[in-house]
Amino acid sequence: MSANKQNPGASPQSSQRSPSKRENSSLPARADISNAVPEVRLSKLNRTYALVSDVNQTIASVHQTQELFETICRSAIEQGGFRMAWIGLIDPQTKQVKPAASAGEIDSLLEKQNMTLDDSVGGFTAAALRTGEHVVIHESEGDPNIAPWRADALQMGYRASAVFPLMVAGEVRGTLNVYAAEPDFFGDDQLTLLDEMAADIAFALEFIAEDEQRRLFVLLLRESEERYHTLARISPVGIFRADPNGATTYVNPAWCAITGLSYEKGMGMGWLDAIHPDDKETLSRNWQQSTYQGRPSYAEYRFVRPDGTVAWVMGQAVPELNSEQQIIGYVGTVTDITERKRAEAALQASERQHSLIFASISDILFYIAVEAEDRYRFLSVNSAFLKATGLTEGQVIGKLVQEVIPEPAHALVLEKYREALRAKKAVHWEEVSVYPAGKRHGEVSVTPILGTDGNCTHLIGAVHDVTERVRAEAELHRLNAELEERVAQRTEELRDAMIRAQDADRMKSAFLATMSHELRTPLNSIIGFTGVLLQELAGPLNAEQSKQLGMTRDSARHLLALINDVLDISKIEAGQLEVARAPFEIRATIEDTLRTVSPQAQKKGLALAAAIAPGIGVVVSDRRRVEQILLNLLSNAIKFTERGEVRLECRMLDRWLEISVTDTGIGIRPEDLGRLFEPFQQLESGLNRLHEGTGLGLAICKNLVSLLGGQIRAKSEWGVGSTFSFTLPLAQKGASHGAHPDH
Amino acid sequence: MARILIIEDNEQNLYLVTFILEKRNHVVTAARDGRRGIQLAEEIRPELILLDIQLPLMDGYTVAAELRRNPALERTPIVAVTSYAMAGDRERILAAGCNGYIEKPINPDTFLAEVLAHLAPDPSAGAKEK
Repeated sequence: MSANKQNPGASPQSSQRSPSKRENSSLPARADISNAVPEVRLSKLNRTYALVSDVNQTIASVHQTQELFETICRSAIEQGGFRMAWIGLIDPQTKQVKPAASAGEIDSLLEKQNMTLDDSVGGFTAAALRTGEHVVIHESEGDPNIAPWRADALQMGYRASAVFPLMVAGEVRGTLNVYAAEPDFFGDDQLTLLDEMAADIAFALEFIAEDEQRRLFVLLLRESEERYHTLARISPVGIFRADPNGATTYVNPAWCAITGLSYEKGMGMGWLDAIHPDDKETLSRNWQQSTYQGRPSYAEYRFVRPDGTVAWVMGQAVPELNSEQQIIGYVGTVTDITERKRAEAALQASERQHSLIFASISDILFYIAVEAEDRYRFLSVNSAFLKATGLTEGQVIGKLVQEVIPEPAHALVLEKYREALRAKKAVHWEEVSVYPAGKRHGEVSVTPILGTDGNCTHLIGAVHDVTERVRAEAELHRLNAELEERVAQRTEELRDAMIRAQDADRMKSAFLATMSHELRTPLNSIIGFTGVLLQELAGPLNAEQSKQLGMTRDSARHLLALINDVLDISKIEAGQLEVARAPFEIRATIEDTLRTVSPQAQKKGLALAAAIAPGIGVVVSDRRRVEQILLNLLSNAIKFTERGEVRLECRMLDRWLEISVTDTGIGIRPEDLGRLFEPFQQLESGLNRLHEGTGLGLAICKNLVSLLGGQIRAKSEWGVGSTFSFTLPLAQKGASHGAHPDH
Repeated sequence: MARILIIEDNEQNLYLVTFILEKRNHVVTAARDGRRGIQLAEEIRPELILLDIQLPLMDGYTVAAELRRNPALERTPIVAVTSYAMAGDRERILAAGCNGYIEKPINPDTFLAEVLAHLAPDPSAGAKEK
């Protein structure tokens, strides 16, 4: 074995070293070489050259380790004339050499060579690994380095072998092992060539490793970029890239979707036009500040899409820096937050609305946190609360109920709150509170708010101020009492008034009696003397005198009738009209009255007819009043009839006597029939001058008939005539009457 | 021909009735108040007394009742001539002792007959006096 330990700094290939190598080489080898036939040595050297050339070619053309190794191993057999060749690599984990490629006569030897860098293990490969120098076995038979495998080596025909370490960056990465069939195969020239070849292979190994690493890196980079692009393409977030001036160089589909701009329009400064006019200034200021301060920019702003819709976005951009820390561009994202903005706006509106309602409602409202049993803290109250209590927000918010509501009122409040918490439902009560602003009556309701765990976390309270209502009720109560008192007083007054009225009535009656007397007295003279004169008791009268005195007498009589009517109606109204009941001949009475009115009928040329049914005799009634009724009806008939006749009929109907007066006069309109019997209702005021009368006659008749136990009625056809009829009971006084015939 | 006492305070009414009666030849004595009327009635013992109800000092009801208390006058017809026309007046008048009632104003055509009717039922009274 030969090992170049003497001159570690020198290159193994250096020709200067060759003599020293030779010196260290075993004598037999030297003798061998010196003794070799020159042609044989030249042939071996040539083969080695060929091998080195082949290997270099392979290195130039093959860039894959395994293929390289296999080609090299084959070349070693085919060109180099070796019986076997293999290349092993050191496993970084186990530090053991693992055969990577081999060629030639291979046997179990390879597997047995469990070579490592460990010194304890023998073997020439291990030696080469340790030393980093080639190790040569010139003759298998005598070399102790091959002792463990000698038998095998000899069996396989390996008489000489050499191992060359493959050094990369000063480290052993592997070995090249070659075996020859003839002893002393390796001459110095060959070893030098083979050392150089090993160095070439090591270089190739390094180059390939570097190349593979570079290719791997490129591959990873490409994959990363692809992943990035995929990510950018499918991202729901808009992504953009811009140059230092802000001109866009890339946008992803989401960006286009959010902004409504096409990829092409999104490039360059096109995006700036799509920014909402109100947001442009803020956005650019924000950008500049961020850039200036070297931090990522963040902004919320709006895009106005070409279709007019607005997209709210949250935009972020980070500067991209080169190795000199110069900004070479920006990468940023835009996230569509339109929905969030809308929800925020809706929430704000809703909150504003609620706080507005909360603030403006006239009832007291408060919101309380339940901290523990009997620990309730005011979180918020509305202005009605403050107004009613006269407290400021600072005196209420964050304070415990006990601190706000004075003794002893809070005892009731706490009890009610406990009740609400226990029942987990609203509790209502009425209370009187004494606030700085005064005493108030309130209808209170407190509603517990349950948390997710089902426990009450808050209370919402409302107080409906019913002070006014309570006051109004009290006032109403007072008014009622007052009213009752007044009613009592008034009743008393009315009683007095009634007494006074009764007195007045009595006075009126007395007055009427007096008036009646006082009017009748002068009338007595007028009627009396005219009558006496007309009788010519005081001497004869000429025609004119008789006529004028007749007129005087008629007027006086009329005046008397008026006085009588007024007197009667007064009596009726005072309920003082009384009727007598005495038997009398009705036939005679009728005939008397017909005689009385006969001159009036004759004067107007009217026929006066009467039909009195046979068998009609005595009735029990008031003769004078019956006469009065008959005179009234007959006079009226004559008065309102210009031509034709006035006819009186008298007949019996069951136990009733019916007397009717029918005329062919002007008649009565249907609408007037109803008020015919009301006092002072002479119909058609225009007729007043034509037909003298008080308008009391029919009202008196109606009352008289009623007092006499009968009924009066009228039927008429306008322009054709009227019939007035009345009934009188025929039965004896006190006997019960049957139903009225008309009923 | 009869002696008739008229108790009447109204001058015109007194004149009217006196005129009517005297024209028929009756002898008329007049009293202007109740007290005087009672006095004259006792003195002259008239065959008929016409009595006004509303009189000064003493009303007609009292006069009638007073006259009836005198046995000498208890059967002398007394006819009230009055303008009292209120309900119940008639009954009160009759209850006071009057025989008849003539409402004022009188009817000159029937007045005499109404008055003389009260003389007829007891002609003997007048006849005895004559």
